[in-house]
Amino acid sequence: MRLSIALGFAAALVASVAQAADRKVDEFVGRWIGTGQATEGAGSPVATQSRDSEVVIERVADGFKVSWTTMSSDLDDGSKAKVKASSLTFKKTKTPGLFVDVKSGDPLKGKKSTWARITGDALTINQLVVAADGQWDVTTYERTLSSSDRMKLLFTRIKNGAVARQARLEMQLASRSTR
Amino acid sequence: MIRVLTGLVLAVAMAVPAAAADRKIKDFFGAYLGHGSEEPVGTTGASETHRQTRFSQVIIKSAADNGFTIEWSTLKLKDDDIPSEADTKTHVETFRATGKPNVFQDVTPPEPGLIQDTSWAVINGDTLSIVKVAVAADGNYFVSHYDRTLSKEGMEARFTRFENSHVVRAVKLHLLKGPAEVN
Repeated sequence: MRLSIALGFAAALVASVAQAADRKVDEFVGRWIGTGQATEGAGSPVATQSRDSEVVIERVADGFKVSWTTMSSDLDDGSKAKVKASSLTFKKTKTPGLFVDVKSGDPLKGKKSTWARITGDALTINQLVVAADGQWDVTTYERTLSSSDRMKLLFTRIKNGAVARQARLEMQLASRSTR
Repeated sequence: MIRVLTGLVLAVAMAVPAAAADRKIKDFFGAYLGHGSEEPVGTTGASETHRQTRFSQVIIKSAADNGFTIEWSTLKLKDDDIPSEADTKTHVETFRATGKPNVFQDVTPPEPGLIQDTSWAVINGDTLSIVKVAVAADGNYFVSHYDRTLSKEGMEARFTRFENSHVVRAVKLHLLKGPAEVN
């Protein structure tokens, strides 16, 4: 009886440790589609836009590439829609789970500083931009796996010391193939 | 006719307020003393937040390369009653001018081991903003943003600290300018 309890406890302990381990890049690879809303204001955020997005995460040599296309529509006027596409390529660093954009540079010299890290279930990308007049903003994309084929996206933009915009989307894996 | 038009133009120009020009760094030189408190952040209710009082001294003076040095000290009381134990901290930063008007860069070399360690200052209108961004070796990042705005009596200061996209601390201070010359 005591042995079975001990074995059960050990099994639970091993399982909890396995769950707490960081995800690998391969678990994020695929084509994801989803929808959600953007809000403005930090204290009492107000929904301002609906967002539809496709994200493609693929393996490249020594790292990975993220490409995303987002259509933003004003909630007040659905006919006003904007489409924006972006992509970033990251290479791994000496630190496990930490990656740096291949084009990352010194923000005080006009370059964007971009890095990514995987902690737990989340792949987080941060980008710092400092304008010529000293104004700054940090954009964060936090993509968290809730299962093997579902992902939550939290987008945050901080501008000159205040949270300017956030967006939350629910994403579903459309295909593991990225071709 | 030309005299009438010239007079009209001058009259209009005097009547329209001039757009606020940015201050120069020398406008901020001096010693300032005052107090303020922490602001509630996140989802913490006002009733749950102890708005800790802070006393602060700020000294801004000129430095090499058309720059400036800022020294600020903060005293936080541990209890509401006086006398009380207190935590005190003092920071000093020196900035040099860059090629861009009213933009300055910290002269301190980046801390080794950090992915990013950047600090700069900029003047917009009546406000001197100082921003520090640090990215740790594990990818966590921190931003400290100080806005110090000149007022009739001295300076209004606002401090915000972010850790990984979350506001973790916000402080507002009201400071009076002292008569002492600092240069």
